[in-house]
Amino acid sequence: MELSSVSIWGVLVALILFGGVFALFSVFDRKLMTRLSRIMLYFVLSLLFVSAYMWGLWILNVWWANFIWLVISTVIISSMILRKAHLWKKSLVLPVHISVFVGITCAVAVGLLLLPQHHTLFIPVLLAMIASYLLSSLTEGIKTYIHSLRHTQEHYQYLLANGATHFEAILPSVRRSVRATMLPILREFSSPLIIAPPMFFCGMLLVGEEPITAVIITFLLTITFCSTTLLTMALFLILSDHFIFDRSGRFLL
Amino acid sequence: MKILEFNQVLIEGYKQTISLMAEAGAVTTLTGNSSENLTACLLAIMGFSNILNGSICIDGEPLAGRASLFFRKQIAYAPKGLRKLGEVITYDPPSVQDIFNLKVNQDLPISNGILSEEIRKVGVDPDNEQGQLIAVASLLEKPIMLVDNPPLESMNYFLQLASKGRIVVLASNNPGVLSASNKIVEL
Repeated sequence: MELSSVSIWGVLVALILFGGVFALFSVFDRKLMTRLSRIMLYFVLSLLFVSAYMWGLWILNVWWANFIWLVISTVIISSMILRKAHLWKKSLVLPVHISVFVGITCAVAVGLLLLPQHHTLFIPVLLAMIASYLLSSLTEGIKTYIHSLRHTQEHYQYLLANGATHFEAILPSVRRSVRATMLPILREFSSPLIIAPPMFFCGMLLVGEEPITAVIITFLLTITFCSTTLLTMALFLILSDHFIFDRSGRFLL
Repeated sequence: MKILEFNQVLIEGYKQTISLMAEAGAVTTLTGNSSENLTACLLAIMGFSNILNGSICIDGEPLAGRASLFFRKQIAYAPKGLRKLGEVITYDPPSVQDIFNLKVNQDLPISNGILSEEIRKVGVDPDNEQGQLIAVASLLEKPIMLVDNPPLESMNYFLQLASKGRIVVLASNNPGVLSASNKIVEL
């Protein structure tokens, strides 16, 4: 028995399985069950919201609607990065927004060039994929950079006082932040892909794409997203310099 | 002859203004109740402390904004020490090699042998960390040398540096250092 392309039996089995797990929690750990219920509710509401805006973009099928969504997403992603890094400072808002916008635009543009068929829905899909990279990597990178600058003022002043240029003096903090930006990416690369391939690869197979094409596109998209994440971090480091150091080189945050 | 002047300078966190003149040929020592305030005074010369009133001048040129970049080109600084910073995550301090690898210092004729010889001239134990920092600052050959809390054994070395035409400004509460200095400024 089928409803649209979804089998009602599959739905029933999935719900019964989940219900069983829920019942187990209610016996062993009520506190975790309550937390799980809240998170599941948030998950379902988020999915409904995603489907609503995807459906809206599908219906409209115009480039400017996707561009507006790209701008809105940039603002949301930048705000989440600052919030997760516990660095909600006025001086950091503009550099983060600009660098994230440039990074996302580059990633989406390259992604659209790579994909065999262009459909306007690919823009929010690509956006969602780059967003996950940016959220994990940039949060770590920015947090590490500011933390390093805050806690190594003596070292920074010593270098500046003995001949270092501004860039030479902040270079140790820049190195630490670039390493921190790379770590989430490296963690993903070293995950067991043999048994858990990337979601986008699986999605391409589900729509009937040939495996070799799916592999090539997944690989190219992944290296694109890595490059644009590092580009975004570099752009943030350049733009934020003007906002977090005064003209005499003093750190302001 | 270079002159370093503080003209009614009020540093953020201080309650009183500072006025002093330091010139080549004499070792000037700043002294006061709090070593943090003395360090802040040295940092103010390099443009790292917030100045609320007055001006710091080198040869009449006031320190303001971008001028601090010009000031620092004439200064070498030896802090009390360089330690690992941070609590949960610790950050290693820059090494002597890092200073000599800076672009502006790469043309200086410095080697490990020259550095060891300079540390010997400073008059402290070769393993003394502050002795190394003083030797490094001296080898940079800047007209102004700032030293925070120098060891007593190095006073003869500073007097020689001053006699060779450098402005030497020390920050210390050590009575031995104060009695060996040419000029004392009480903050």
